[in-house]
Amino acid sequence: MTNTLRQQRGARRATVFIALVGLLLAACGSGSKSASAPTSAPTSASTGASTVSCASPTSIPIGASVSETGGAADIGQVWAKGIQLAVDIANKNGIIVAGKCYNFSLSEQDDATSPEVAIGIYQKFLQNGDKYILGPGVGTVFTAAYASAKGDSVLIMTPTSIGSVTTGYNPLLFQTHITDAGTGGRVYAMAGALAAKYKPTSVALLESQDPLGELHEQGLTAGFKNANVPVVYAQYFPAGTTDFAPYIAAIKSKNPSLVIIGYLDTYVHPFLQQAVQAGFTSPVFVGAPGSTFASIQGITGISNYAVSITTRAVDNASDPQVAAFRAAWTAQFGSEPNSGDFWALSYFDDVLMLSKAMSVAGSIDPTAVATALHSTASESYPDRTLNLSFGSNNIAQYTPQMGYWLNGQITYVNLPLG
Amino acid sequence: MDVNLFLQSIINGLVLASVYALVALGLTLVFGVLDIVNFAQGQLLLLGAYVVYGLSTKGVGYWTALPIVLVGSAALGYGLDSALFARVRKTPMNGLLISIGLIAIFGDVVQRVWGPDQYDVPQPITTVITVGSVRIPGARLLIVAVTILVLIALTVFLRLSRPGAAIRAVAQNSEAAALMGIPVERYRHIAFAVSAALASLGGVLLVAVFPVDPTLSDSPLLKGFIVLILGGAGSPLGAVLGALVLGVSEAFGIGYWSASGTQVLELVLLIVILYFRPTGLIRTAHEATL
Repeated sequence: MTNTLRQQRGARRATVFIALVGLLLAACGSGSKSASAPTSAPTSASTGASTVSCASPTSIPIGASVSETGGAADIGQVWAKGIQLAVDIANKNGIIVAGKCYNFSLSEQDDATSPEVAIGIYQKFLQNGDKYILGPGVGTVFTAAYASAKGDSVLIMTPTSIGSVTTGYNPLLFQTHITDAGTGGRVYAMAGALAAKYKPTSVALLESQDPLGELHEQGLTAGFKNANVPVVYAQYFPAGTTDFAPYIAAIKSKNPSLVIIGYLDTYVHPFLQQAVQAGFTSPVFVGAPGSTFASIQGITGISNYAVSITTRAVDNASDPQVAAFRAAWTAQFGSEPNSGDFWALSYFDDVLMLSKAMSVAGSIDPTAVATALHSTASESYPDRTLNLSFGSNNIAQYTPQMGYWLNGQITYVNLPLG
Repeated sequence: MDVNLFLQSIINGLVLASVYALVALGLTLVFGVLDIVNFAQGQLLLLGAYVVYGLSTKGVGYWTALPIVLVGSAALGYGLDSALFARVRKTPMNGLLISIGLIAIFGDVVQRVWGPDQYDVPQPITTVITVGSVRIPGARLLIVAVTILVLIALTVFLRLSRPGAAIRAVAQNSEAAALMGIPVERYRHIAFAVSAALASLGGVLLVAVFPVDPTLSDSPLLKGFIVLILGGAGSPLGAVLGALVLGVSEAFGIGYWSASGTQVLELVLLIVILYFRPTGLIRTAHEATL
């Protein structure tokens, strides 16, 4: 081999290596497909009786960073519909503030479930002088974007479940989802509810390898330990995993009676498919918070499946609390909401509460509106979907639900929190 | 030791290895002939998967869709090379940048046509072979069998056919090949076309087992690049050997240990190979390459 050939080979090897490193870095950067959490309450219309003319309302810009593509796209597209529906309703009603009529001017941007993109979107909103920002709803994306807006007097609304954990209390941050963390959190309560419902002899946990997955695993492990149910398998899978067969083989060898997989439908669905192919159908399967009943659609052979509903089941026609939302949704989109559309409440209620809070505050100043949002008693929002309570750090939160699926029949039950 | 887990891990490892090998074979072919690291290989795989899904919604069966996708992707590959990569042949870095640009373009096309949702394609094989308590879905066996066939066919093509010999000649010394009267550019286009067909074949096989979504190709592409380094860039046999090492160790690592630990182990293995055997597992001599 000549020196020239050797040099060419060396250059080629270097190129491949650089390419590989680049790919690895890109994978690390775009990694986690996290989930997020829910929010607040719907309503139909009313912003209070008023004789103020809304013929030519003044616009209030609202920026929204929504994960319409990327890892959380399936949730993000529902979020986008929830935001649009609420804005349309608020604008139709008119927002009356101190005798003047306003409406929302929505600028929605796709953050591609990417922290870097979300930071850019936030900067754009801030440069435009926006005082109200919705999202991101995905924890890892939100945390990065939120940090980039520190010091700005902007009211931010997000349904992410880990925001308060990572950011601490901020009066200008409005969260409507109970934290997933700790013994008072939803995941811990979920473990207790599952233990009581199914009385499993042992449990296997398989979560996504990212902060939310780790949070889930900690909460579930503590919850099952408290319920005296042994966790015989607890592992993580990397983002982007499609072949779950090696995990299923390992879990099957432990013979658990309950298996929890997290936390997006894009993970849970192929897992269940491949579990059926592997003849592993006897346990109760549970989708960690973030997944929906869409995970089990089209899959036959599994009898018991359960999910945590982060807001409120909106496909439940017998629930009067979601009747107004269901009617508004059906009128806007031409079909009734399905089992995965509960994510829309994450922003639907936020936006309607925001419009109401402006009226209550008599101002569109973010600080005054935030004060109204956090301190107004629940009777100020009589037509919202859900009753909100306020946590120890004054974060509004829903009472989550559990959905139990038995051979296609779904039962929704409120999740008792500790 | 749990015998069932052991046997199941071997099967799972072979399936993983087959997927990685298909991606790596396409990468190594393009790299060997064109000196381009084609980042868009994953998007070609994704496109193949989505086209099969799209055809299935129009009532076109899996086995009918297979040749349509292969021919279409080969034509696309030929067109991409002649229209884009051929113009930057003297500056491989620009070729690399083009391939990155293609990721964005194909990704956007997929997004706009099919959206972010996950879709199932009707399984072409629903048979499950049971050996003891080990279950082997027929669709997974299909992936392994097709990969073996592809390797044999590619070897025969490169070693025994005149176009294959021409491609090898171009890969080894394009100037000398040109002096021998070989139309170098045409064979470069053909190599790219074969590589694109291999990528789309990977996509077609994946949808026989997994749902289609925009992230379907992420992991296979990343692992394909690792395999390329392990086996030796430009060596088809090395690609297969590297894929076997990676796939089987991954299946056993996840089965008996942890996925995150296995990931670390894979990268440590990569560093060790780069340090002690930088030409890869196979590529010890010039003859071992394309």
